[in-house]
Amino acid sequence: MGGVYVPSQFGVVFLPLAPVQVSPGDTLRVTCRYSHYGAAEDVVLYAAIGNHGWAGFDEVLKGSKTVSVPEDLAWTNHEDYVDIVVSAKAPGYYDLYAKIDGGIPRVTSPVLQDVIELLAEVTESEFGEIAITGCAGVEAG
Amino acid sequence: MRDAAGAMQVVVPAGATHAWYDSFVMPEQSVTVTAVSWYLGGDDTWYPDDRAEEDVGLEAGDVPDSDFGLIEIAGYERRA
Repeated sequence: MGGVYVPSQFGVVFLPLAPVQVSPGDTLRVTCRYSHYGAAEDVVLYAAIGNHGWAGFDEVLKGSKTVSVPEDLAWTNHEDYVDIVVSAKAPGYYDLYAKIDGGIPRVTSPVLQDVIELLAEVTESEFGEIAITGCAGVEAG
Repeated sequence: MRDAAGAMQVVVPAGATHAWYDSFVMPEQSVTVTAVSWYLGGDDTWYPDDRAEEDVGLEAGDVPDSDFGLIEIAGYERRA
């Protein structure tokens, strides 16, 4: 996967830029890095693909899971992943973002633009029509 | 300089911002720090002007509330 290394609060972060292709039935694994301070708690790590616009992020597919964050008496970086199960949606390029806690997010990631290419669902094998295009006698033996 | 009750007294010029330090012991209970300003009247008498209070809670040993700084997407991959 291509990408660039960019400075961030975590030091230097590899920012993946190359789109990844997914098809219905696939799983998209989104790895997130976040910083935490204070008491231990269970939170929901949440990621979604969709379209980011002036009105916000229109989620098309999403995934979430509960993460147990340990007690941190100093700001500490953690990493975890969340899976998005891909179902049939309109093919095309989609944006990606992640957050902690869904309704009122505690923290939200920057949006990665057009990094997920959703492919069309492959339909079952099907035949349209058949026609005889010619015939010829064949000598026996 | 401290007064008879032990309060620290500092002269702050009009309109100035001035910081100074003091310390106190707060065994097993929270305290309230109070600052009082006085002005010198024309009769050479000090009059109380304004006051502010700040509560200092006893939190030693307590774990601070959980807080999150930021989150970034470190990677993404297709898994069939």
